[in-house]
Amino acid sequence: MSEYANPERLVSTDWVDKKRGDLGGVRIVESNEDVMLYDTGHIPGAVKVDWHNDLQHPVLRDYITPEMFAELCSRLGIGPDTTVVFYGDKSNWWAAYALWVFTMFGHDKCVLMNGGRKKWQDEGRPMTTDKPDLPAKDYPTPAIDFSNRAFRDDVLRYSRERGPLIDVRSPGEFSGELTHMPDYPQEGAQRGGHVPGAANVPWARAANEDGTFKSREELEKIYLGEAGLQPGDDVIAYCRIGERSSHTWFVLKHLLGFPRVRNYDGSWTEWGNLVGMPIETGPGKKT
Amino acid sequence: MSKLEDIISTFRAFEGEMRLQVLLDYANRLPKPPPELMATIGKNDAARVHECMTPVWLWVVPGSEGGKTVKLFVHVGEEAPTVRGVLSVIVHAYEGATADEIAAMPEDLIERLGLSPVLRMNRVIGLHAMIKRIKREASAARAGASPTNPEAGR
Repeated sequence: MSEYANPERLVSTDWVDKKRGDLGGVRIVESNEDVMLYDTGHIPGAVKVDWHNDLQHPVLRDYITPEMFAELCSRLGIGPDTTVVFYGDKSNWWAAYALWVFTMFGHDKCVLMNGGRKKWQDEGRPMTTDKPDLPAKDYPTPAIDFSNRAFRDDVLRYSRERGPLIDVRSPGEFSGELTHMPDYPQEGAQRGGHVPGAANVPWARAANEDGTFKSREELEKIYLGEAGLQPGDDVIAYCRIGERSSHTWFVLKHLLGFPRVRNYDGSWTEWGNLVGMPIETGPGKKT
Repeated sequence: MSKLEDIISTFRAFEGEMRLQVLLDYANRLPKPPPELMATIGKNDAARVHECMTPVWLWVVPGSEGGKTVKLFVHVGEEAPTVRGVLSVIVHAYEGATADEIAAMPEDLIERLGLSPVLRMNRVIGLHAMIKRIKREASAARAGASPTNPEAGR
């Protein structure tokens, strides 16, 4: 994993297995698509962060407040200096989302366990349904850092100026044929298509079959070669609600080392519902 | 009290995370479909429920008493306990039921179970679509043919 731009952002299943006996300074956090998957069994010592129930504001379409974030961390035994190791299902798709939200609250010590839940299980490592009893920690109310988050006006400017935009949805969603993920429920976008100027790189292309990330060389071939990004680009990635694009955000930011990468979490369920926004349909430019 | 009402009141007796534990308990008790139905997976995807984000296979087959009752079988992977749990509730609530009774399943079942506040909107949308699919399958079974598996029950 040393080939990546920020290799310290990725840990192996082996590292976590050795570390779980002594969790001083470290918290293992499982984040999945399914709210109950953690409860069916998880890495001993791991706590659960649900992308929806824990990280989304209960009323507004936004994330929890800084005060709620501090309370969540405190409850999970996470202090401001704790290294948080995220892992989860679906090639760490939701784990990357949780990590991205933690980054927004300025929690810098966040890493992913390469390969996620599936690799851990496939390797026959221990799982338990016991929930750890961890002492609460003080977590001061953080300041919000939007340097990794894009809003619709940023995306509109990028579209007009042809800034580097990556749409990580499936080709059917990108072309406008579908307004939701294949096999996923309709989540209410009025229009299909993509932000004009965006290149389509489905998020899962960055992952191997076993859920680990592809090598740096393979990733460069996809994002620098096919998608046409230039080293040093200031990139915005989006998908449907910002979850799949968090995975791509992690790849571009931490594995390929782009200096600035932002995730547009409003994504297609915002853009495809706004009145008068520019939309392009069809397969787009060949990437 | 019907089996469904009974299950609903069990769910309603708990709140928040505890309600999820009841659902998890159901997820662990989802009966396995018989091997002859499992063997059709991958060969005949008519039983695949495309309305749900999780791979789900569903069969409505005639019961043993000569057609009045039907049996509901579902297959869902263990990586999707929420979907397993809801389907298990349906299988248990409609055990020994007729196709008419299944076709009349309340569309707001998730809300009646008190699960929408704990599962939140994104997840509930897919489950609603799945309930509609089960009702449609039951209506079709009532009409005579089992669309997902014409050979079952022969």
